[in-house]
Amino acid sequence: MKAHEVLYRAYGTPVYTLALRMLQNQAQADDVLQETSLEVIRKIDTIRDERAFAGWVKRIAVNKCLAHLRSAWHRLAAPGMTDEAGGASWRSGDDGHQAHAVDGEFDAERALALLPPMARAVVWLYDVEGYTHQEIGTLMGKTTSFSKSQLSRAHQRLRELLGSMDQGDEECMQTQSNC
Amino acid sequence: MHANTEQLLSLRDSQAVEPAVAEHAESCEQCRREIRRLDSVRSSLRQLPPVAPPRGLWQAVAVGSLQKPAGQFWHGHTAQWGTGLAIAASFVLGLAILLRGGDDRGDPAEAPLETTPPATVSQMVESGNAASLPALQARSRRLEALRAAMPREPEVQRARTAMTIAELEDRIALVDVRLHAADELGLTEAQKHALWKERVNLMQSLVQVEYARRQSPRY
Repeated sequence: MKAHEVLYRAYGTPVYTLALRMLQNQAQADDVLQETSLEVIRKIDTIRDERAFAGWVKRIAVNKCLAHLRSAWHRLAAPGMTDEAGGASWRSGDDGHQAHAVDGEFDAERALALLPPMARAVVWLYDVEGYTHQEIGTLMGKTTSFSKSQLSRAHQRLRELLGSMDQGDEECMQTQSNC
Repeated sequence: MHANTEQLLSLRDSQAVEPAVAEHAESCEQCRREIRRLDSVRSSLRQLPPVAPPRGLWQAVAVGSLQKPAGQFWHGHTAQWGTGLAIAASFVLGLAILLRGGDDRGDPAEAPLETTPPATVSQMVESGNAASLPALQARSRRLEALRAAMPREPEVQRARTAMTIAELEDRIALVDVRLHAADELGLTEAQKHALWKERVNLMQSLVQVEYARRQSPRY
């Protein structure tokens, strides 16, 4: 068990960070790390290549996170932000957050937290963890196009929240598909 | 016509887009600026600081690992569990992260095996039964350190030796699980003491086997 504890010390922070960024919920991130660790303990004998260990653990964690995102509890906890089917349920000005965006006060962390859950999951998996659209589509039980479209929506929203472009660019990009 | 966000993201990531879009973006300052901005957002996300899990979460995991497969776990050593531990242990060696108590500093047991005289090994594994719990824990740490200092892989290893080592590791792991969850299991001080004593005995056996293997690679 000591060996497992030492392994935990190595993967605990990356897994916890991944879960917290994707779920934006500490209790759920705790659950994901705990569930992931238990699965590692039970199934470590299925992995033979030490080099594949980190990717294997992370994939377990991603699956746990996605299960949480799909759960009814998560949908209830984040009303108005669920958009699994790709519908634009989170619009600019839906709540008080938009006022902060205008002030340009958002940093990347806060902007990420305000993304719709699936878009946030995709942007994190693709831009930070390095998964491909095809891998993300498979993990989510969706198509590659779904992943691309969610990434695009995430970046459009991040752009609004981070408000980093000048007025000319704002006008160009707000028209969306063909600026 | 400017590129849309999906196309700009593809261009950012050097992925294929329609030639006309790529051609336009190459000559359009506005699109190029947007690609740079998308890249900058990605960099900002990647630079977000890692978050450490709460302290104590590992204890919950250790207890959980006891509870879930309880039927298998407490009634004999399942092959799966033992194999898993052996693999975990090998990964740990790769990580080279071992927790050591500060009181072990300067102990000859921490020196690499090449500089540890056989007499030291012999002394460590034969110097009688330590009576107190702290003494047992200190002895256990020294044996861990001694074993950690041994070379990782022998040139040749007999199957029987490998099995013996795996068995000892397995039994040590079982003791560790009980010690980790001692409070949850409601163990008395006497039971904990007995477990530490068992751990020391198992570690001594393990170190002896490892040392013998080191001395004779064909062992």
